[in-house]
Amino acid sequence: MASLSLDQLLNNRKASPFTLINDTVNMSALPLLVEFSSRALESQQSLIVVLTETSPRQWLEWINPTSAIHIIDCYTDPMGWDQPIAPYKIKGATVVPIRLDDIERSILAPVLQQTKQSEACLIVVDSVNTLAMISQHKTYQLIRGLESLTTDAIRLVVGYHRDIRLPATHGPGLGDSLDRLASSLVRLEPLKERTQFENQARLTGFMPADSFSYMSLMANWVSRGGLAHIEWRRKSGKISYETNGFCYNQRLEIVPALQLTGEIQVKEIVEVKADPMASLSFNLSLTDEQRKTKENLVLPYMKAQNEVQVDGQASGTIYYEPDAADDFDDEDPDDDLDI
Amino acid sequence: MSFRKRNVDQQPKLPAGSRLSAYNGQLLISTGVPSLDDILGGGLPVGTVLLIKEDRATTYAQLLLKYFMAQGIASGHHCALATRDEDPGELMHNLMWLATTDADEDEDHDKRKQAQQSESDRMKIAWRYSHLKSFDSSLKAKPASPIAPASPSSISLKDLGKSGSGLTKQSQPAAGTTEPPPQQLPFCSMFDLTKRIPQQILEEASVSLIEPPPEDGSMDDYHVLLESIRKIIIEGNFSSALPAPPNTTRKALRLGIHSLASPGWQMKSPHDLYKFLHGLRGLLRFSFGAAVVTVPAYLYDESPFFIRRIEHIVDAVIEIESFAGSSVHNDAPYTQNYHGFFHVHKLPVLNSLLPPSTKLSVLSGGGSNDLAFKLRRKRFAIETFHLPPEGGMGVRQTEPTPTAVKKATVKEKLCGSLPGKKDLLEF
Repeated sequence: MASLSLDQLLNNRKASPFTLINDTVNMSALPLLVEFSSRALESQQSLIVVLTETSPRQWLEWINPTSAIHIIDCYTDPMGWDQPIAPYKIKGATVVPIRLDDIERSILAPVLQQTKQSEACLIVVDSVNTLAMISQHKTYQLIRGLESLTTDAIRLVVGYHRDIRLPATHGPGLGDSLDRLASSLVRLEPLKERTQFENQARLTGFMPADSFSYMSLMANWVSRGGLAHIEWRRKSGKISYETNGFCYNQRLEIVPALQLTGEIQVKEIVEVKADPMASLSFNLSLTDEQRKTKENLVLPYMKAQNEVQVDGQASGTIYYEPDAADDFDDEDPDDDLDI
Repeated sequence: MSFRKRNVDQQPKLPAGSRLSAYNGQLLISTGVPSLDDILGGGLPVGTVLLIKEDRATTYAQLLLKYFMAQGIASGHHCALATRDEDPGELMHNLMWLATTDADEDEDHDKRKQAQQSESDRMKIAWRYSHLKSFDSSLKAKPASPIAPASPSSISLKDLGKSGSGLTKQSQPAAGTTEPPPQQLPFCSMFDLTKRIPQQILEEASVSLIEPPPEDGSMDDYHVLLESIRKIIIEGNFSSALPAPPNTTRKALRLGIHSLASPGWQMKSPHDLYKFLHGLRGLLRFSFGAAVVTVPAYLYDESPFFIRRIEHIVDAVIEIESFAGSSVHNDAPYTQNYHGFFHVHKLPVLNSLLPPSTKLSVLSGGGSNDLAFKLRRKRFAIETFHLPPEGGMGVRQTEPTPTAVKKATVKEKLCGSLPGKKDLLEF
């Protein structure tokens, strides 16, 4: 089975320095981010996580804490309302609570420091929207700074809530700007509900329109499955668009999308071009000898063809070659007139 | 003394690498891509701004900007580059350079030539047609240009990387230097994308890199950029309003701005950008310079009036839409030959009602042809867009497709036939 794009992205099989995960309230990016982190730890990479919407303790419950994890905690107390907390460790994993005085300096500097300490690492940013509410431009500069840190060994995965409308600023929206920076985009979508209308549709041919709801029955039901639409911009310049499905079964598994949606795909029948000569009852091909004689055949105007090419003069003269049937009589036919 | 012989010396000389338009005598400079020059009506008129609307997810617009800069260096013009998304020095180091081998080395052209020359394929019966010009959907590439000897006026790129609104210093060309006469350098050189510009030529070329100033919270990036450009024009004697000191040869100025209005540029309101472009056009009209600006217009789909207004302010607008960037076009059969569409929205029209390209252009056919571009291994070309025959080039249908046959047999009923039973008269 050809490996699926999402699988390749998770396993870092093929390079994608900056992966942007666009999620919505109906299908959160968190399971995917956790899976990225677990697989990175399994392949002996170190993990740097910037948490803005998830508590570090919760994060460490999903991922077994090891000393290779470094968490930059913007969740506990970003505004500095409480007493400052010193960095602490939970079972080997370091947690550094910080205050967001200046987004770029507060986050970029520790990340830069950490990347220098290990050779291969994965930088995960939980959600950029909290930072964007402070300043959209600074968030963009932060992500651009993080992206400039990426190399073959250092990857970046960022989650962004696409359905939150940020206040309008002059210039392009943050979502589009991040799309432009990313080397692969993943857009998450929940599965469609199977309702009784589907059976009715098959019987009667009438398809009701989807009614609007903020959250559907299938929202965030990861054990059932979700869909990921991937746009992968590779270094060679080629862009591939693919849709994969994922479902949770002790670990997140990546499956082909059709397995989850249950649609029957109509396969395009590829016609093999039949040789038109094969079905004839007579032979149209030439042997070599026949081909030679065909080429040596003298066609009319061949002499003129060669002459035109050689002379190159204006051809106004008439070339007449007397035939065998022509008789040339030099006598003047008017001679025998007696007038 | 009614006659006075016109001395060639007294006539104002054209700056190197430029020529007069065949249509209305305007001064034109080449964009580096022959097909784009043809679409514009011979070249980009001096004093105009060309806007390129970028493509999504690919970098063809940046490639056109690189061609513009490389052509400037090859023709001996002064090049100025401003960008916030990338490092301008890096961009200049990765420019393409001239093709050294002669003539067209494209693979399909070679095959066609070989095919024509082999005896067995020569036309024997319709031999008079072999002299006719074959239908060309693209412009023929001109033969390779001689490499211009490096001019002694030097700019050192050692001042690169200086922080602060750094403009690299420019030294005046020393009086009495021998520069190659303009007639030797071709108007549009042929570039080879696999070659990089030699370091020596880059160092000796006259280049200004406009570095972004450090963040000072003023949010007035466009104003700073406009001031830098004004400074370059005045200091480099490019302004036609100010008289040049005697005995200086005027050069043309090429200004390239990469990804203007991208998220890296800060502005207090959209009017900052309108003011910048308006000021830029005013500066260029009274100077021997032309500008090429690329804008990521796809980011502004939510506010289309912004891009519309910019299109009205500049002189020429072209748009690149790559097939790879949209999931609709990505797998279509016509993507084998072409890499994207090339839209021409506005053409430069100075002191005239019709753009010159309506009469002069081969490719655009007076604006009625669809254009597409193709990136071959060694060059970038714009051609007229033809859809391939349906079903692909290899398919030749002698029978209708099976579904069509089925439908035909279902519907066809002769009057004597009973349902289910085949009528003996049917054939």
